[in-house]
Amino acid sequence: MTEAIKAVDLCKSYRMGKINIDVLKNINLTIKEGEFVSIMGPSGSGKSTLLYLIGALERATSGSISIKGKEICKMNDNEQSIMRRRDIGFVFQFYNLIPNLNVEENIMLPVLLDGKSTKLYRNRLEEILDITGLGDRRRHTPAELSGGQQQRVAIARALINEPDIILADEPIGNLDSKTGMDIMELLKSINEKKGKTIVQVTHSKEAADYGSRIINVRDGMVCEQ
Amino acid sequence: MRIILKFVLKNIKSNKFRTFLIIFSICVSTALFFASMAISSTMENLYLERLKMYYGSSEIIIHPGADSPSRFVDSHKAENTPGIEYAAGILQTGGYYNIDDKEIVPLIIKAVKFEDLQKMGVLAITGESNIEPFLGNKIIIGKTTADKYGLSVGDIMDVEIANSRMKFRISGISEPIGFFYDNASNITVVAPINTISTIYDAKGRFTELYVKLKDSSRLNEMMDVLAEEYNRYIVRETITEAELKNASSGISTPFILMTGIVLFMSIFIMYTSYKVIIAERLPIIGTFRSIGATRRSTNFVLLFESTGYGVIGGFLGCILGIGILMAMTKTIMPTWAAGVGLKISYTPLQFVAAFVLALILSIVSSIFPIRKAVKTSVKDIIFLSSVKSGINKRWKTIVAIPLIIISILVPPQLPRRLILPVGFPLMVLSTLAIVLLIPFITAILLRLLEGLYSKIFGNEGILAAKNLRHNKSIANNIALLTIGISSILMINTVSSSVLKEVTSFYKNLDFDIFMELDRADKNLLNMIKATDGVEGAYGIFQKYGTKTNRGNARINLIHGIDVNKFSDFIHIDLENDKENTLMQLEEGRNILLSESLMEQLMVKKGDTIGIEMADGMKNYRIIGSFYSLMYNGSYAIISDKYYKLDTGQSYYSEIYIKTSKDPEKVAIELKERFARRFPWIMTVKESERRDSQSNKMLLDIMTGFSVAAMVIGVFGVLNNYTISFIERKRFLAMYRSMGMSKAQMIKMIFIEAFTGGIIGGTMGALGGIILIYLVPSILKYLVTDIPMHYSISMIGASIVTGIVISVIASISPALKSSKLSIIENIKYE
Repeated sequence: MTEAIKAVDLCKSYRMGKINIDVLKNINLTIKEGEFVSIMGPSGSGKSTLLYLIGALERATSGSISIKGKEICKMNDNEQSIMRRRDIGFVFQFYNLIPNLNVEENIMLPVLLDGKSTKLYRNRLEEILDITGLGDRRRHTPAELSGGQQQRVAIARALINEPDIILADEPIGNLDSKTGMDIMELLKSINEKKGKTIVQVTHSKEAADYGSRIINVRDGMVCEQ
Repeated sequence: MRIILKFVLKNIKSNKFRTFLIIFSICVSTALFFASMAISSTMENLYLERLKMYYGSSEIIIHPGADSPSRFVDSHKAENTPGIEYAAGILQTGGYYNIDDKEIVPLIIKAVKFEDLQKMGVLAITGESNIEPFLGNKIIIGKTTADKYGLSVGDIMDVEIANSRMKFRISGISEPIGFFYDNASNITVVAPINTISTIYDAKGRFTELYVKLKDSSRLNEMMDVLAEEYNRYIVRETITEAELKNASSGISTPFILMTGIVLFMSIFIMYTSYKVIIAERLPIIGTFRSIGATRRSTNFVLLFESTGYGVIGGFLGCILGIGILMAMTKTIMPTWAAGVGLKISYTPLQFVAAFVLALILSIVSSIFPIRKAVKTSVKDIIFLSSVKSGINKRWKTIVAIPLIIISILVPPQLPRRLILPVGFPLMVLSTLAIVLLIPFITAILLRLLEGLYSKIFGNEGILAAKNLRHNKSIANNIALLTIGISSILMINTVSSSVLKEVTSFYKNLDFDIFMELDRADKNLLNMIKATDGVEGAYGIFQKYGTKTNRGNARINLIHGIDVNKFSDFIHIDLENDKENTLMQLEEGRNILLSESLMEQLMVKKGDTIGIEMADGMKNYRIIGSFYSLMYNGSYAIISDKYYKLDTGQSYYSEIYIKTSKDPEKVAIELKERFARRFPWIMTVKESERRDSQSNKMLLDIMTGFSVAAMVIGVFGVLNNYTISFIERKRFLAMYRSMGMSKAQMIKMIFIEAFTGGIIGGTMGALGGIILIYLVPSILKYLVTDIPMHYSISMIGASIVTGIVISVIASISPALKSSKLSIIENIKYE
């Protein structure tokens, strides 16, 4: 298996007034293609920051991150944006759907952002709606959906451009346990059937166990892989 | 309570722009409201000042009329009537000042006792030499005259009175007040009564008696007493209420109408601002409540804040209002008031009214968002459910469509008395209806634009169109642009139409000079015709403010014309055979009326109307109508044959002159040649220029009001874009997390602004067109029937204005968006 994600000596620090806070300290990790990795750790350990750096939502203070062999820290905004559209799919705890767009429109957003015609993606959309079980909710707006359904839309949106990597930040953190497990089943099936690399940040041991590997982060350092 | 108050004050401090916007809106609305109310009393007072200057402290004037037994009136009866403080007799006559043997200037000579002048308070001596006793060949002149002819105290004036020349010594020069309120064509001098009455053999007799009462409250009673004493003379008030009202009539109304639009816009801006303020504060207010603050105390603090804005805005508005009132007065001050000086008048009540308006504006705009917001759960606010509550409320469209239909159909059908109370509110309602229609029209336009945008702007265009469907802030911007642009479009169209119509009135005049002079008969007309440079002259009779038998309606101007030559000098648009119709005027008591006069009198062709002539009502048959704006469209024509018969007038009122040379030079020539006839001369060109100027001044202020509305609107748009950016930060971060680049985001924001501008501009143009359609009904009531001239370029400019304002206002949010931190905004857990 080739490397999907590689972090070398990754550091991230913030300034809060006159104080410098080191959130991540010399992180080194490698995630291979097709892996389902769960990052765990207590609140404030830096696990979500690590995910955001991998997804180029934030810039690292030092060190490097490669996505499918490409060094993202050296990319400009445009290149990073293209990478986020094509190579990565994001799933957030609070779904982050656009409230005024319906399910189909939300799912198609990455296609539009990539400058492609949505017409070319009709078959793909049908397939994803089928996988996520949202076929009968396609015209609904987020407000008309349950939390679990909203997270399914977020997963569908992450899949539409067929990225190789899915980054999920506490994907079931806002859901009840039954719905949460359904979502985890969905992610696992996507990982297994579609071969997508999935990296999730979670507090839940139960959710983490869906992954093939757990990375523990404590005080900004990887303490166990 | 103190901690909540502290929190609110901190918020006000941190949101300086919004605080400024609210106070600015209240301040401008209050100022315009105050100035609109006070302009009327200012105009009345200017007129009163002017009349007081002329009549001094006197309250009643008695003078001979057509039926009087003599052309003089004696003062004994008045002097002996109890309750009279003074009765100052004045003997007025004409004369000439011989500057040298070539130039003579007509004079109005008022002969009066010096002590009477002082009692009346109609002079203010600036320089004198042995003025008292005021006897012999002493004369007092005005300062304007002294400056004009280089005269000073002690100089000799060569004056011609009753065909004999006399030398007068200037013994006093007065400030330009009272009798010396000089203007270019009337020079008044004061001479000793004994000297002048000796010349006319009129000792103890006067042409005018000025009476002051000991007790002014007995004016009506004393008028009756004096009318009985002088039963064949005219006894009238020096200054009547009606005259004062007339001086200011129609001035306030258009300004108050414009203020209505400004108020409407201010309420809208404040309402939207308060909505955001309250939405922003509610989570914290909720926290306060959770730790024991009562709902009443939190509501009180929010209301206290809005009242504070009202107090500050109201106070500043009153100060700004005085400035605006001064500027308005200076701009529209009539020429007759030039000598009075710039004096503004307002009452404490007007201040109070403006201040109360500021408070009402502020409290009413905030009370609904406060009431609505306190009912909303804090969770809904956190989850931004206010955004999805959406603008697609069907009721708006359902209300808007019939409202527009009513606003369009009703005003033109309204009877005159209902035009202001019903027509004007309908005009405002039509704008409101357009605003209500915005979501519907926006949805339709966006559907159309979405396809087009994908081709022009790519997928960012599609995203922008999708975002606009539900963005409340941009919908508010569209509403602000709609109100602002429609009012500017309306005012500009009205201005250009009025100016165009004034010019078109002059196009119907086929002569170059207006001339009025004493005892103008056919011989004089022939003498004028024989003057070098005169190609033709036409004498016309005119009667002003003639009563009719149709209620209180009067005809502003009746022309008695020579039917044979009228068409050579004035063109009127008669429906059928013009020459034949004019000829018919000679065949009996026939009359032609302007179209708006027909409407005002509610008569039609073939009807008969009674017109008050010298010896009672005379019935005239209406034989046709024509379009004219002359004398506010209240204009009628009869033949000179019947005019002379019914009025007994034999001298022409005015003479129209065609020239073969430069009219200015011919005018000077005529003025010199007929100086002894007290000529008043003005070229048509000059008259047109003056009319355009005076109309332009009024319309410029109206434009100023609409610009004020637009400035408020622009600030509102800026505010809304800022609000929109704050509200949408999270969504923009979501787009970024999905791979939207900074360049794509800026592009999307500009497309949104551009589209908002197009829709705002288009809706503004639509609203403007509806207002322009409705304005003539209001103008018909205020002034006269003025057709509106729609300008495609102006409509195009409105749309472009909308786009430019919108795009410029979005620059700051677009730049801020590029610095947006994705994580900071996407995570709010």
